[in-house]
Amino acid sequence: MSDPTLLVLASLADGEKHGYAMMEDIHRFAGIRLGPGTLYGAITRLEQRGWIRPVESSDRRQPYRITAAGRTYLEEQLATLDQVLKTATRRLKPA
Amino acid sequence: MRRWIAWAARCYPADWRRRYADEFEALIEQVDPSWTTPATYLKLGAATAILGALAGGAVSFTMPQRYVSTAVMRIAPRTVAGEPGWQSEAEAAHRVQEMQTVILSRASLSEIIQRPSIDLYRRERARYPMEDLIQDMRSQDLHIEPVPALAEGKGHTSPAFRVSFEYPDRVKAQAVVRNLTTRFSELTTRTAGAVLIEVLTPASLPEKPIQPNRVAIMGIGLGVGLGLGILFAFLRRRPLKWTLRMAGCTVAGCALAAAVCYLMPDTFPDDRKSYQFAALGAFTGLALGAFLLRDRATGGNHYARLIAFSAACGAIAGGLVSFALPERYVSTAVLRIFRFPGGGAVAAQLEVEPAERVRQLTEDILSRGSLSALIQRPSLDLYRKERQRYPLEDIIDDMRRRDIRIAPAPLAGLTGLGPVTSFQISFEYADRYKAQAVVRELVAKFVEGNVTAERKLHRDKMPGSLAFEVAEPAALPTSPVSPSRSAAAAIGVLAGMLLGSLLALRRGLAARRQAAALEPRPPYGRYALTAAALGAIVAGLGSLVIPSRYASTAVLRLVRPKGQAAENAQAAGQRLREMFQQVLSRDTLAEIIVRPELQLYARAREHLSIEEVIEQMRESDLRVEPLPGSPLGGHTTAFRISFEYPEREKAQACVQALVSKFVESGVDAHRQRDAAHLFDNQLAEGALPLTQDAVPAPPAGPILPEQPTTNHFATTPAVGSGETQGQPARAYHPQRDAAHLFDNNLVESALELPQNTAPVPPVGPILPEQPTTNQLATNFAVGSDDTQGQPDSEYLEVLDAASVPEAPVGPNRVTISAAGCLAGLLLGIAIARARRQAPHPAPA
Repeated sequence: MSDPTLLVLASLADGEKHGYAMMEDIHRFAGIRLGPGTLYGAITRLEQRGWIRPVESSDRRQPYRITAAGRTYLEEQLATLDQVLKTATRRLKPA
Repeated sequence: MRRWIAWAARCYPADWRRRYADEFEALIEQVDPSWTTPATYLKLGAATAILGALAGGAVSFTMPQRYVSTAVMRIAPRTVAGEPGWQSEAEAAHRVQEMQTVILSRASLSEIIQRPSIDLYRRERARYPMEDLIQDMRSQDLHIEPVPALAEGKGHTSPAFRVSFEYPDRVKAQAVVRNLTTRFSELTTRTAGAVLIEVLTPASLPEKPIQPNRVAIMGIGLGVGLGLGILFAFLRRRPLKWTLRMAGCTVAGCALAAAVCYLMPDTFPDDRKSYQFAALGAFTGLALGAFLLRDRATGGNHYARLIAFSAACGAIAGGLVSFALPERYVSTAVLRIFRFPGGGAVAAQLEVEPAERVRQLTEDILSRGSLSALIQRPSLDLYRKERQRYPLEDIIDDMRRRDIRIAPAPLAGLTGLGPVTSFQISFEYADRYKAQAVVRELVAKFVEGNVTAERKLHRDKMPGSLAFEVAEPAALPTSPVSPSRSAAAAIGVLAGMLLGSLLALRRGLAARRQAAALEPRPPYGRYALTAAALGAIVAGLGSLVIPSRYASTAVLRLVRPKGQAAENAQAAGQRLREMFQQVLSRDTLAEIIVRPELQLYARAREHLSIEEVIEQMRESDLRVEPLPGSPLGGHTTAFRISFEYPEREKAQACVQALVSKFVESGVDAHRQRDAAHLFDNQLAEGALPLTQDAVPAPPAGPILPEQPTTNHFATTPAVGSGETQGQPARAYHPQRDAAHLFDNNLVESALELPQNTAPVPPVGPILPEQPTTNQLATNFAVGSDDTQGQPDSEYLEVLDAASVPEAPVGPNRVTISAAGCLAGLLLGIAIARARRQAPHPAPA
C-alpha cells in the first residue's frame, strides 16, 4: 500500500491537514516519507477528482479536507484491501 | 536541496503553479530536509567530489604541457703511464666542471635563448629581464647531473653525466639539449686531450609530456570537492544566522590576531609567522563561536562534545605554546675537498687522506679555545643568557653536542664528479643571522686551517695537495626548524582529547553518584584543590624566607705536553692527587674561611668549631668534580671547582682563593720534585757525604691532610700536608684517612692517555685532546722556575676563571611551591576522606 493518493486520503480521514502535517502523519502510520513533489502530485490528482478540497485559511499553508466522494472511494479501496489481506492471511496459514 | 526543488517546481505547468506554488513553497520551507542524514552527507560529498575531479581534469587541459629531452655523456680520462689513476680522474672532473661553468654562463645561455631557431621564453622575455630568465633556466629547467659510473670492463668505470632540459615545446627542448652536448664536445677539443667526452645517448625527442599530471590534479579536485561538499551539507543544516555568526567569530579572531601581529612587530618579524598566528586566531574564533552558539536543547552525545571541545582547546593551547617557544634556525654550508689537479708525475705524495684532514681540522676548530673565542666575540655574543647562569664549559659542551653539526653531504650536479669528498657544516641557533655568521666563521676556519696545514707540509697548491672549496656558502635560513607548530597542535589535540575523556568520565561517574547519593558528603575535589592551593601559597611564601644562594665556578685542567709517556702521565696524576690533598686539607680551608676579607660562615663559627664548619663546607657547599670525558674516547683531566654561598662576591672570592691554592700547590710540588731530582743526582755523583747528619731532609714528601674529609670525592691514603714539608711524614691513620678525598675517576682520568688513535668520522662534536690556546685562560706552569711557560711538563691551565654568579642557584621556589601544592593535595584528600568516614549526626 504505497499509493500516495490512498495514503493522503487515509491521512485526511480523521480531519483536515496541511501538506507538512500530512507528510508527518503518513510517515508516522505508514513509515513512508513522501517528498514535496510526490505529495503535491497526489494532492493535485485528488483535488481534480473531487475527493479532497481546500479549506479556507489565512496562512500560506493550505489545509485540505476529505470530501464525501473521497471518503466513499477510500472505503471501497480499504474493503478491497481488506479482502486481499484476509485472503492472503488465510492462505499463509499452515494447512 | 530546497532551492533545487523550488527551481524544479518552476518547470511545472503555469496553471499548477498559479494554484499550488505558494503553498508548495510553504511546504518546502517547513519540510525537514532529508539531506541531514549521514547518507545524504555522503551523497552530496560524492557529487561534489566528482564535480571537483571533473573541474580538476578540465583545468589540467588548460595547463601547458612540458616535455623533457635528455642526453647522456661519458667522461673518458686521459691515462698517462706513471701517473696515478686518481690524478687523471681528478683532472678530468676539474675540466668538466670548468666546461659546465662556461656552458652555464650568462653569455652562453643568453645566446641559446635568443637564437632565432630556438627562441626560448618569448612571452616571458617581454615581461621579465633576461637575468631572471637565465636564473630560472639554470635552477628549474636545465639539469646537469652525474649518473652512476659506467662499467668499461676489467673493473674500470668511467663517470658519466646527464643533460636534460624541460620546455613546453618538445622540439625546442631537444634542440637545446643537442646544442649543449655539442658545446661540451667543442670545449673538449680545447683541452688538448686532457679529457674526452663522448655522447652516449643523443638528445631525445620526448613523446609524452611530463606535465601536467592529470591524475594528480583530478585527485586534488576530488579531495577538495569532497571536503567542500561535506562542509556545504553541514552548513545547509544550520540556519543562515548561525553560519553568519560563526563566520563573524572566525573573522574577528583572525583580525584580532592580525592586530596583535601588527602591534608587536618584534615578536612577529616575518609574514610567515604572522600568517600562522592569524590562522591560529581564526581557529580560536571559530572554536569560541561554536562554544557560544552551541545548542543545549538539541540532543547528541554531550560527552563527545566535551571531548571535541577539549581537543580544540588543546590545539589552541599547543599553538600558543609553540609561539611562546623561541624559534631556532639552522644555517648550513657545504665544503668540497679535492686534490689539486695537474702536474703529471710530480704530484705531491698523499700523506693525508681527506677524512683525516677534516678530522684534524674539526678537532682544532671545535676546541675549547676556538669555540670560547667564537662565543664571546662581541659581534656574535652567543648564548648570552646561558652564560649568566652556567659555566662556559657547559655551554661549549652543549654547543658541540647539540648545535654544531659536521656531517658528510653529497654534492649536487657535476661538482660531485671525480674523487671528491664533501661535508656540510650546520649550526642551530635562535638568531638566524648569527647562525649564518657562525657557519661562515667555521667555513673560513676550515679553509684557512687547511691552507696552513698544507703550507706546513710545503706542498701548498701542489698537484695532489688537498684543497677546500666552498660548494654552497652559508645560507640564511628563512624558516625555523623548531618549534613545529603542527606537532605542538597535534600534541595539544591529543592532550585535550585525553583530558576531555577524563572529564567526561568524571561527569558520568558524578551523575551516577549523584543519583545514588542519599546524604551530602564532603567532595574530594574541593577539599584537595583548596588544600593544594593553600599549600602552594604557604610553601611559596616560606621559600622567600630562605636566603638565596649563589654558586661561583672555575674550571682547571692539567695539561700534558705532546708526546708525554704513559709513566709521566701517571706521575702527573700522582701530583694532581697531591694537589687535591693539600688544597682541600683542613688547614688550607680554615685559612680561607678566616681570611679577613672573606670571613665565611661568620654566624656558624659563633657556635660551631672550625672543624665542624669545614665539615659543613665540604659536605654541602664545596664541589670539586671532573668534567665529562671526550666523545672521542679520550679522558679529560679537567675539573670544576664550585662553591655555593649566600653572598655572590664571597662565593667568587672563595673560588678564586681555591684556584690560587691549586696553582701554588702545583708549583710547590714541582719545585720539591726538582729538588729531589737534584738531591738524587748529587748523591749519585758523590757530591754529598752519606753521613747521617749531613744528609738533608728528603724534600719531596707526600702531603698528608690533617683532618679527615667527608667530601664525596674518593681519597687516596694521605701521607702529609703542606705544612709538614721537610718533616717526617705522619703515620697513616685509618679512621682519619678512611674518607676519600679524591674522586677515583678524576684521578684515573688524569692517568689515562688520550685516545688519539681512535678513528673518528668527521661527524659530530669533537673534544680536543691537545692543549688549547685560550685567550682568556691563564697558564700556570707547575714546573720549576726555568721551565715555567715551557710545555715540557704538566701544568695547570685555568680554563674558566671564577665566575660572578648573577642568578641564584637556590632555593628553587617553583619546586618548593610544587611540593607544597602536592602536600596540600594529599592533605586535602585525607581530610575529605576522614570527614566522610566520620559518623553523621542523626537528623532531628
